[in-house]
Amino acid sequence: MEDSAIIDLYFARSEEAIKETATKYGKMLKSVSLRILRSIEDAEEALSDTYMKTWNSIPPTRPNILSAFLTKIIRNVSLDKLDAMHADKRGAGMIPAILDELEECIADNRLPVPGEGMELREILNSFLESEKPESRKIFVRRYFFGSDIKEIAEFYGIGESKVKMSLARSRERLKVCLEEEGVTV
Amino acid sequence: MKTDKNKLFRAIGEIDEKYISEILEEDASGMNVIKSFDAAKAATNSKKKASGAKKFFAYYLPAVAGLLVCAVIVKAFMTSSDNAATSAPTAAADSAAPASYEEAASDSSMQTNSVEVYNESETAEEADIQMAEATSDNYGLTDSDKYETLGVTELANPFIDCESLEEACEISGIELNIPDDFSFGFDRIYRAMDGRMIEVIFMEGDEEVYRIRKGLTSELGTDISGDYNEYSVSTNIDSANYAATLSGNEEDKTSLAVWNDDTYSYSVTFEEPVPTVSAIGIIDMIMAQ
Repeated sequence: MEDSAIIDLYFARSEEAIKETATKYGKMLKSVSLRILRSIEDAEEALSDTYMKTWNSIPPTRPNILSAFLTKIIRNVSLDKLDAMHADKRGAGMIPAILDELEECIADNRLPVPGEGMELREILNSFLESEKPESRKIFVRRYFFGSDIKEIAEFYGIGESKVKMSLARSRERLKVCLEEEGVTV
Repeated sequence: MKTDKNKLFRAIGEIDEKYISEILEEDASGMNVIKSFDAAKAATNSKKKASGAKKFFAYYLPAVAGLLVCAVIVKAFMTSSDNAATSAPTAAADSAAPASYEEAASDSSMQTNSVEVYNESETAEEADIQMAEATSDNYGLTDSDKYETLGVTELANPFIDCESLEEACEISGIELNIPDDFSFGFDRIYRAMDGRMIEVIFMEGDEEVYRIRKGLTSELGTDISGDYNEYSVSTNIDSANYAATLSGNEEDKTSLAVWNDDTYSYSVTFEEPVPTVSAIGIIDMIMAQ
């Protein structure tokens, strides 16, 4: 079913909307959650919460890209779960590793204060826009989707060292962006 | 400090949807993923690969192709007594120097399988349109399949590895003729995409030599090769029971062949370019009734 038709079902308050969403995007969404939670049971729970949040969000929201809209929701839901479980260790090392990498981007280990200068989201979008497609995709795979280095390397048919190098350079450029645009405290 | 890195990680979750969509679309094509893995492997093995496979295609396959052409001509000779004296020598000459299949086809007065060759430049626009269609429909994968490739464990592979050709045929629901004369000494990997495609990869040791795909056009589109290279030379082959496009970067050498019939799309991709006559021989055997 086309995304627009699924969204119309949500607007019509038809429960078929959730069924169609699950059919079309269920596996993809679950995989996003699994990368964060590393537990099938938790991922399935996050998936159910995602359907509920989507049901509550549409309407009034009419997503431009339904798949990306859903992906953002399940990522946030999964991170909420991780926080709730105080589950750094349950992340099998993945999320802590990613967080440690991201820490390199933060000048004095601090982020800009919201409301001063550009919002963090705007800085990130500006940074991504300035990145070359290859390095941008590697960055998004790693830090949005939580893919591991090996998985990214295999996907693009390149070496793990090249992925690491690309990520390191992207982090360095992001750090510069954050320093230029943000206000450190 | 931990709060800040968490905050950054959270904020990345709010990036513009186009950057997320970019990845989802990239993942959408299972073929893409598979080709990436193949490309990685091919890159690793490219230096080693040249020797055996090249020799095979440079010497053995043209010879076999020549013999096949001879066989067809002899058959034609036996059914048509008119040209008995001239057909065989022509075929013999072609088998010795198979650089020009066009000549072989035109000289050999084959009545049952006449082949017409013409330049791709006349249909370049059509080819571009086909390529655009293939790209836009993600090489024919359905939406549900696209996202199956995103699964943690299913990331790479919408194919099912099979023990035998029979098993692959059963899973895919598609029969495939194997060009036995062009697979001498090669190991084979059989794979199937449930109800939609069958694939056979011919290997020399750990190195791929060529692969054949046959899939439902209605499900997968007209180009199922997964080969995104741009080739400088394309040739259309019209025979009695198929019309194929052969592509490569040298005259009379083929890296990719794609064609369709009423129901199925076919492709043959070669890791190293092969003489066009060999590629045509493979297609002939795949399409043999």
